Amino acid sequence: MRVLLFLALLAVPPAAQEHRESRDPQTVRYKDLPEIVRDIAADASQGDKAFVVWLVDNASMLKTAKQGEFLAGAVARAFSGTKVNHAVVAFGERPRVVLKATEDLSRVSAAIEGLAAARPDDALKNCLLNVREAAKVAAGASGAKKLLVLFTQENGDNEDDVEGTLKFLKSSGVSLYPIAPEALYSDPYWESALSGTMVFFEDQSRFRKLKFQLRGPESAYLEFPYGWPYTMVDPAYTVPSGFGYWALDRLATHSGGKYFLYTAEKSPLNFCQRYGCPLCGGQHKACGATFDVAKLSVTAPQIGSRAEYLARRGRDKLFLACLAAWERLNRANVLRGTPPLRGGAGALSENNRPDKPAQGLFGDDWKAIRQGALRAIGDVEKTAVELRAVAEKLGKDSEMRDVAAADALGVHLRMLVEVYRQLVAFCEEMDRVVRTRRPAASDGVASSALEGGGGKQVAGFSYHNVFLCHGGAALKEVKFLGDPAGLHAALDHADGMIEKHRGTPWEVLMRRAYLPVFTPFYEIGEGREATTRRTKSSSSTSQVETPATPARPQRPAQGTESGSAGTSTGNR
Amino acid sequence: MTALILCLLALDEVTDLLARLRATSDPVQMYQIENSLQQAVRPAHVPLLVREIETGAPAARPHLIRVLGRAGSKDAQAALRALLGKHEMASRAEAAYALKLLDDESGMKMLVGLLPKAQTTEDKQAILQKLYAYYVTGPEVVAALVRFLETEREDLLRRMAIYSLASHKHPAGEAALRKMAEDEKDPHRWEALATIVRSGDEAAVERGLKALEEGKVPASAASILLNAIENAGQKALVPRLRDLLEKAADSSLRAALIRSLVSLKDEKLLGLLGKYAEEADLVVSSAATEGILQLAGRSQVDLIKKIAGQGNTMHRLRAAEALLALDLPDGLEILKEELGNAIWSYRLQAVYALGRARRREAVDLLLAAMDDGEERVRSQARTTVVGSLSALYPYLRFDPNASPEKLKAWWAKNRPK
Repeated sequence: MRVLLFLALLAVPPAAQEHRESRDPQTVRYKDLPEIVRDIAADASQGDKAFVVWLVDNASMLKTAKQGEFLAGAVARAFSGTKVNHAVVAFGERPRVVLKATEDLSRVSAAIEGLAAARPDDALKNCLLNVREAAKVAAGASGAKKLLVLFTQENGDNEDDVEGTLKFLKSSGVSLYPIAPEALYSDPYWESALSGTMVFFEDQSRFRKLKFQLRGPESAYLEFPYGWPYTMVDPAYTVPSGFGYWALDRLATHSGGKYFLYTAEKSPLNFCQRYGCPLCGGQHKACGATFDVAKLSVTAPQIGSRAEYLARRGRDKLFLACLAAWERLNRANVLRGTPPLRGGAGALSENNRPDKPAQGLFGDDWKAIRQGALRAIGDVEKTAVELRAVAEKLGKDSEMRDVAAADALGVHLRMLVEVYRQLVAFCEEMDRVVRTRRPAASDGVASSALEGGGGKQVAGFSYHNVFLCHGGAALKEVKFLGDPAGLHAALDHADGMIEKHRGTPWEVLMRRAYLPVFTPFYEIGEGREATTRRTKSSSSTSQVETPATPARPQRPAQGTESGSAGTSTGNR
Repeated sequence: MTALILCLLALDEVTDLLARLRATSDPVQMYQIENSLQQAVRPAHVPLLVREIETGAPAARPHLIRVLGRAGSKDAQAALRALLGKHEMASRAEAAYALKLLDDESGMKMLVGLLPKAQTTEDKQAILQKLYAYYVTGPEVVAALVRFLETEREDLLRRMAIYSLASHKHPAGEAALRKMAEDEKDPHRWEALATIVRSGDEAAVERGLKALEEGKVPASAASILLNAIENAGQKALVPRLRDLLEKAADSSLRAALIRSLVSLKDEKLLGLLGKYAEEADLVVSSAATEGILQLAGRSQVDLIKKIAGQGNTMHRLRAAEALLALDLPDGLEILKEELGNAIWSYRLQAVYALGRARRREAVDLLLAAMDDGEERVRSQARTTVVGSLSALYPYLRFDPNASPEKLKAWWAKNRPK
């Protein structure tokens, strides 16, 4: 009988294993650096003996924002009076021990300050290689509680052999405590850079050659589309997730540590200021959401392994419906970013990244653009209707995270229909303007902004976006092109969904839906020729030899409010 | 012939502007006229300007001297040199700087030399104002300021000299300021320390903060020191400043700490501000109320509405803006009420706030404000309404010179339902 019981225990079904792995992320928010270090000191002091290894990333931030000095001071104060051993490891292409185990806090502070004083190293560095090497230093302490504190503001969003790293941390009894920035929800930064849907003015191929993977979202894979048309910034790009980077989060949680969300320096501008909101002139104070911690915990990302993610998510029908909608619109050349996963036969598998993204509708052939836009309206409307039907059917039985993502995608798709309707109306108007060449007629107060090019040849069009940051009701007061009935219905729908998901990342995500205001531009002299010349000269930079460790490209402006810690959305 | 006609026309304009300058004593108007004169002045106007400087009101003299500098001829330069030895010190200092702009350093050298000899407070002030690094640089200027600080005892003048000296960022000046900051008997040691803090010196920051924590800094100097800490971007010091706020007893120090923490965007301060806003101490409660209005988010809407319901008009106006910034239309109701305020400056503030709202109802109120009894309110309402309409109608181009009547008629016809 005992043998049978033993055998039964050995044959633990995968679901039970899965349950053990699927712990909620151990995320600590809203703390400043001294509080974070005090929390770590409290954890370290729980055992009789403790050994803390400080793995410090020597990027510019350590120096410019004086983070190195602040960290050194915080360590000296928080660990004062404790009998904890410390070592300091410099984060780098080749991690380097700069201070061996010591109880002398003045030496620990001096070592961290020394790193801050040294020349900063802004090259992209393999984060998990550094974690493994620093964990080896920590593993050497026998009989002590072993903590590895990773302090990085720049390199937390890459990964390399996550499972191997976790295995090593567990086997050596080292708990990881990252002090690192908050991840963006489905952060499209690296994926859009690598796939070319976003122009970073850098040669993307050099990033593809790295021996580690550039990632960054809070979940194992992107869950929300990127590569949206007629916007300079993808919707998810400015949405804080409330959690850390997936790989570090997984390592911290499953090694018995915690992930402290900490962003040393943020933009002093909020979203409306950053993107020139015409509705408030940048005065808006509610660009972010005040995240509800309880809602965050029920919508937490899965931080099990990728294999587990593929197995579990392959059964989430609403999630699969969202992926299918994304896939269809990618094939229709509407959404330029390819979904990272594809479903089929109850299982998920990884998609290959295409070499080149599809191109959008641009130029000055108004009839052709109008036709393209009408086709896109058909594709997007059909997809949105189908997704809504699935969401209504499966909503009650689905995870809150999937419901929120489906609702947000639904809002964006309905707004995307309106984007294309605006484009159709704009093309019709421009076709008329070009044909009649009529000067702008004024009624004594206002005249059309599309007329009156002074007889110059229209060369194309540009746009600026008006976002739903103030909600749909505010946008209903703006007079766009054409019949507003459909747009107003979409805005009402968006307001309802914003209310439904208030206090979550998806509220912010829905507020990032947009409507472009199109503007024609005219040829001046040799304008077109000059443009061609500029394009040629800039593309020649791709011929330059790729250095081993390139610096990270500049992130486009996120427009998050300033704050020292916690979620990028600021106050609670 | 054309040149002669143009010259005569310009002469007419300058003569007219000089007459207007003579007739006014309003400082704002004087600057406006000076600006117009600078656009119109030609070398031919030099004798006219010199005569006006000699015979006109002393208050107009600095304006006229600056205009003379813009005339840009050898005659103007000679006239300015002659002015270095005449009239009150403010005019002489102005002439010296006007000459410097014409590449003649003699006036500024003379001014530096005059600093130790100046007798009255006004004279010393006039010279010190022109010894900032923006106007003049060089070791002799630094040396003159250091000597001045060693001998001068008047509070205001010493402060001016400290800031002027700090602006030079010269090693000799910095050494002198450090020496002052160390001297416990020097009444301006905290101002000197603040200039070092502002340069980002970590040790000075620590020393200043410690002195604040130990209660050694007088309340008058505390705000200067705190302001320097803010300017140095010392966000990591926020927890220590917050601790200090909770322990401090002096109301001026507490108000200064609240303002600093608000400007450093301390997210945890809001919890304390609600309590402080209720205090009987007006200095603290007023600073706390202003802090709430700057930091408050959606969770503090009730607090903002409570402030809006209180009697202080300035706070009501700011509360209205805070509510609008949180997408709450209640702010428009407050602004509508304040458009009926008996004091025109409050009505003007309400118009400014309405201009930022970019809502249909805001346009209604702005059009109504075009009939206000005060010209400044009417004029601002007209400028503002065009901005609001441009935001609400992105595909239209509005005429900024459209008359109020036309704007009202247009809105009546096109206003969205």
